[in-house]
Amino acid sequence: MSEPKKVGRRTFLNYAIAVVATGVIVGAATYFAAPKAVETVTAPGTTVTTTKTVTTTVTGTPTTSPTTSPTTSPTAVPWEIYFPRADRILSEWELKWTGWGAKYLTKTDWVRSIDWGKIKPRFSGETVTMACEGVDISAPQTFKPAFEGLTGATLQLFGIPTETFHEKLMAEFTSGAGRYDTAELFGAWAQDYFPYMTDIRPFATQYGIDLRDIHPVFRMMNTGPNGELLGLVEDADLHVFIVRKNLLEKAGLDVPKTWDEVLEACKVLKPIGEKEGWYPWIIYFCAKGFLTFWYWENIALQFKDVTLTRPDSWEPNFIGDEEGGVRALEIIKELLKYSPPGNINNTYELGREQWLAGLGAMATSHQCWPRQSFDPGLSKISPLTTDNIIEIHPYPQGTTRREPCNWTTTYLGIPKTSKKQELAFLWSVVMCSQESSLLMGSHGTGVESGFVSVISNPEVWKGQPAYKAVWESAWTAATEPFVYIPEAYAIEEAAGAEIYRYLEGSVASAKEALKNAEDKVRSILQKAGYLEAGKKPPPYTVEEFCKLHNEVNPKP
Amino acid sequence: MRKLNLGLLLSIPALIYLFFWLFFPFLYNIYASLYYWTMYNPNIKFIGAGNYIAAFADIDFRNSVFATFFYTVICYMVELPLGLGIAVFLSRDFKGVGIVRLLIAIPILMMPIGVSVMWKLLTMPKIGLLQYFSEVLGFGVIDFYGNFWFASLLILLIDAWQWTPFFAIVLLAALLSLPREPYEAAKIDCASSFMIFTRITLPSIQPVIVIVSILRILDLMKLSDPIFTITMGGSGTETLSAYIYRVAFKPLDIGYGGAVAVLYWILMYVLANILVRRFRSVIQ
Repeated sequence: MSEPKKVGRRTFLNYAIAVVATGVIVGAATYFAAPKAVETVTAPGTTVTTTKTVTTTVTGTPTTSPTTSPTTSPTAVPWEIYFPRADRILSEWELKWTGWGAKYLTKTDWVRSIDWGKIKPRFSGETVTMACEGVDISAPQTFKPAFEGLTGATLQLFGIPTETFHEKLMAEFTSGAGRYDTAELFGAWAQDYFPYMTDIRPFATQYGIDLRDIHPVFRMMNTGPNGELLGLVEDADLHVFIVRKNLLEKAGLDVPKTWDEVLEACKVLKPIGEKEGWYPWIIYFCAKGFLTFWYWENIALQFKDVTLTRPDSWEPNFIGDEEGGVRALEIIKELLKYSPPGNINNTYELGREQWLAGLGAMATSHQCWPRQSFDPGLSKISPLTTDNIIEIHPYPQGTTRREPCNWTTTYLGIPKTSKKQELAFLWSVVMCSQESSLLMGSHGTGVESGFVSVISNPEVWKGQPAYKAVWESAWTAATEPFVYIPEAYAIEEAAGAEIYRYLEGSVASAKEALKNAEDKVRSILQKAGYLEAGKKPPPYTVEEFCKLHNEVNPKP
Repeated sequence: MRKLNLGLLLSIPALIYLFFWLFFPFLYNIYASLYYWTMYNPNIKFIGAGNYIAAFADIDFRNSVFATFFYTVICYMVELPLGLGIAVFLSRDFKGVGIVRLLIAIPILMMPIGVSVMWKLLTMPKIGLLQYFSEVLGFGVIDFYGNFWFASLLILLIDAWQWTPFFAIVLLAALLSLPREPYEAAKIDCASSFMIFTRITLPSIQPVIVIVSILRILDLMKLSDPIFTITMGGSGTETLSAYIYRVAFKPLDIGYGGAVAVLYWILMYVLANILVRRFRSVIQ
């Protein structure tokens, strides 16, 4: 038997170097030998033609679905080139959902109203940076080629983990490092960012951007006391009420309109769900924290005596003169009985997964739950592939009808430290235009449109049914007053923790829990000086907001 | 004298490193804890012991101290005997023992948050495998995320699944390094297996048990991954680490978070000292 041949260290290294070198040479040869795709891009709304070289493969050309090609303007850009993924989805949906297609494309889209032909020579070769939540990075990535094609500039994206996004941004802004030209910002904590952001209105005026197409409800949190707007709205969500109507029909129930009816329906549905493996309600809290507070205030505001603060002061008013707040908290405790075990500590994401997995008959949520319910790729209850009937309605009522106040708005802000603010603004326009937002919505990622021209369009409702409920709800909306002060997050966290105590059973009565929450919030407000005489919260209903800024409330 | 100077000179880089990365942040944290100081509010106010008083007044803080000790004790009580048992079993020579020793180490190599997510998937109502068996056996759906006792059981399971092998591997190394002679002598004297274990094995590996216990107890005092994953700190399961994260990083409250961190450090320091002093003779 011959002894196996030993490979020496030097021989091994030689072989390894040879393999790496061969790889590099072959790779380089392939790169340079590959034919370059030459793509002609016509800037929207203009006749200026520019040429750029791309090395990526563009899928989903306009030929995949002729009906989705825009026919409204002879100079219109074939948008499918810019939005290949969206186009693929749209063409799929077109087959199944009539009316969903080219009709939504609008001439008033901001991207179309800008003369990109004049812009490109000015910014070609420059680089603009953006900080975004890592989980959302697919959104800017989708529009990056479009922006780079239109401006000739390069966009650099920095994804930051969601869990640490807020504190990292704050550290960035407070240090004045100026690393980012644009940053994705969460509207609920806009006050934290205000001191570091640029007012975008002068840029909007310069480029003829009509900001009033963003529904006032989605501008309120990002608007300063003098009307300054700290970013274009990227993602706009309202809370809606979703039901699997087929399950209700099977139990002989109509869609509940009030919270009392919801609880009655839960009672009837529970035994049926136990047999079939689902629960009447899906709830999420994320344990003690702001989400618990949000969940409560959404329901509490359906009781007219609850106003969160007294009308003429910052004094908390959670309980209400007729104890509407108490009733709201009791409703949540009841709902917990009809939810999957453990939902008291459920995260928002897990709640959504439970809903999409078909574990619930009813729920309240942002629009992403219902939107994703329809997508067979994301949902087990899609009406496109199952017998489920999913309906989206405005929130159930208490003693009044108000839109839940904690809509979420994500916006693209431009830090004062940015040296490329104009280019950063142009990126915001591409990322946050009417069509971009609608196309992002069609991805089912949860990024939704907040434009009046989009959410009020009945054609759009066919593909995005939640928008109808949003449009019907948005004009009655109010925000919580706390979002106008930098202590918002601390207040929500503190109040959420107190409210949670009643739900977990460590505080015996709902009233006591709310009283404790009021005390905690009062203490924070006191420390920060808001309870001093004469100080009162700014207007926080859509109607008041419109009045203050001389706008017409876009009631449906 | 010259030698001393050279020694000091050579220590300077290490001292600088220690100052900037250890002492300075620590002292700065104590300084911050005396202020009302949040990242979003430029007005910083000196409030003395205000944050410390607020911490002691907060029921969540007190509960989190309890939860921290509770999980430390129950996890340790389960993991040590189990780990010792596995170590004794693996110290024997049988076919495939090498593979088993390798497999037993796998949980330690996994990311703690990933392990917690895996267990969460196993216990998800109507979806998880464990819930399926529970329903088949007639126990119904178990509330592993909302009920303190079941949630604690799951947290214990997760921690034990991941960290029992740590005890097992370290104790196995200790067992394999023991000399054979005392065992042979004991066998000649007709000592039972139990006597051999209690009179020879345990005393021989006692220093290792003590060291591994101190390391593990101090590590358990920092338990947070399964808490975040399973309950988000709800239903009475919030440990001190989870509490500090919630009160410091979420609302960006540097002052209060700093105060709680200082209290946490004091607790850990005292505990570590008690453990080391109590078992110093054994270790030495």
